Order: sequence, then C-alpha cells, then structure tokens
Amino acid sequence: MAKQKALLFGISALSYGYFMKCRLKFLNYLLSNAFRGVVENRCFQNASYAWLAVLKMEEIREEFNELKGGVFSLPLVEKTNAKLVNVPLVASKDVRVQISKNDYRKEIGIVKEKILGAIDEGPVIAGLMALENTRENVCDVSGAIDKMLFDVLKHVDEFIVFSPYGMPRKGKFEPYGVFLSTRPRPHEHETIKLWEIGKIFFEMANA
Amino acid sequence: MDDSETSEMKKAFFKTVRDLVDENRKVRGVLDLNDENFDAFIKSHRGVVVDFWAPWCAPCHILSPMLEDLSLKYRGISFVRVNSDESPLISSRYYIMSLPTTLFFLDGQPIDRIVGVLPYETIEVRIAWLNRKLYYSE
Repeated sequence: MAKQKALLFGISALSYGYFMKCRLKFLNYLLSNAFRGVVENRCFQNASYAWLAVLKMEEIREEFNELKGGVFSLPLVEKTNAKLVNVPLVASKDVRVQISKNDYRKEIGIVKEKILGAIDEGPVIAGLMALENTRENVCDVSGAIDKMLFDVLKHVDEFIVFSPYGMPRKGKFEPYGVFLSTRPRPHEHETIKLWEIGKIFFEMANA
Repeated sequence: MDDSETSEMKKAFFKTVRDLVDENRKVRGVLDLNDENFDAFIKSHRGVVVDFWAPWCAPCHILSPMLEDLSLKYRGISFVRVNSDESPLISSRYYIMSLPTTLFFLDGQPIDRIVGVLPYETIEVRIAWLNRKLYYSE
C-alpha cells in the first residue's frame, strides 16, 4: 500500500488577522474550503516548547532543559516515522535551516524544497520561523508563505497547517493561532490545544 | 445671534465633545463587555460597535483586528467586544445566530448589523455611516 503523503506544517506567528489584511488568496481559500479551527496557547509562546507539546502529544507542564533521547524519540516522530524539516527543537544542520533571521525568502525556499523532496517517502513534520522573525514587512512574508503553501499542499494527501501562537502584540504573541486541515477539529465549540494537533496528525499519518 | 453663528457654535461644541471622546478612547481601547455591564455601557454611549465573538471562531479572529484598526480611525464611536460563550443573555437578546456578528448601536438602539466577515473597506463604509449619524443627524 502506498504511504500516506501527510504533512504537519507549523508556521510560527501566522495569524488569522493577516488573512484579509494581507489579502492571502490561498489561505483564504483554505479558510473557506478546509476544516478550520483556532489554536489556543497561553503558556508556551516559544517555538521549542510549543513543538514539544505537539510532538509529545500531551500537555507540557514543566520546564525542560534538554531532550532525553533526542527529538527522534518523541512519540509523534517515533510512531509516525516522519521526516523532520526545520523543526525548532532540533539543532542538527540536517534538520534546521541555518540562515540569517532576515532572509525569509531563503528559509521559505529551502523548507519548500525539503518538504517536496521528502513527501513521497512518507509523513513530513515541518516548521517555519520566517514570520516570527518579521516585524515590518509582515504582508510580504505572509504573501510568500501563502504562495509556498499553494505549491506544497497540492502535492500532499492530507495536511495540518497550524501556528502555535499568533502575531506579536505588546511584547508577546497573541495566544490564538491558526488551524487548517483536511481533518476536523476535535471539539466544534472549543479551541484546539497543541497536543491535540499531534494526536490528529498521528491518526492522519497512520490512516 | 444669526444662523451662521449658531452653526459655528454647534461645530465648536461637537468638536470639543469629539476631542473629549478621543482622549477617552486613547485610554480605553477596545473594551470587553459581558451580560453584567453591557446595558449600562450601551445606555451611556451614543455610538457603539459591538463585536460578538468566541475564541474558537476562526473568522472572529480575522474581524477583530480590522475593528481594532477602525476604532483608532473613528474615535468618536465606542468599539466593544462580547464573548458570546460567556455572555449568552446578551447574545440571545440580539439574536446572535452566527459568529462573528457586528451590531451597530445609536442612542441605545441597534440600527445595523453585519453577519460574518466583510472586506475592511465595506465595514468602514458602515462605520462611517454610523459616524455621520452620530454627529450630523438632527
């Protein structure tokens, strides 16, 4: 049986607030045509913590200093055997895209290339930090991400596009992020928690 | 006192009121109201735009920043938010059937509503209309 082409794509600081403001065509299309939800994350406004909750598929209650056993032993990675692309938890050069913070086009280009190169082999878990590192040209960066998503998602069977928190606001990030997927959110009238995203992807990758 | 003097005085008076409201808005920002304080607020403010929302509602998170932005532009109008999950009485009184819904109040009465998300420019047209009613209607 062919492997499921499933993509879990975390885009830090992507916010619904940019969808209309920046006229993001593909994301607005997804908003109308895919399953959608709102990620709520008030505790872990840091990409590494947020990803840890997703990959552990459980609520993180305490601080962590280092990952015992490494990121590849985390339940979601281990159980889905997913390929990691630019996930903030991992320092390895094979997985992280090493570029300067201002070079968003390069990060987006490399991440896109790596996802497309790996998606035929099985599930992919990818991260993008370009928007989190941006303060001024938010719509330019969002537009580039929008175009990249269009190019990537047409090559996958199932996907989750999420952000662990929203746009920067008053020195923090807004606690509400994006959830767009080929699978519905677990509870219709509730926000989605980070560990629930991991569980949905687990089911998706093992379908 | 002739008509032109009266008109000038009226303009000056409304400008003073607007300036006072502007000052007030700078301090207040977009307020969160609930079942307890909604009526008192609506009674004590002439023009109010109410954003009915819920945390789990994705389009609500598209609309809210647009209203926040417009609140800085139309400072004579009070912009408030009501979390429909936490304020079911107010939401049912105004027949909030889907989210987001934006209600426009003038002198305590609902006079217009937008259901869902519309483009920024379209929302602004409706708010500008409320603004005109606020200052220029007899």
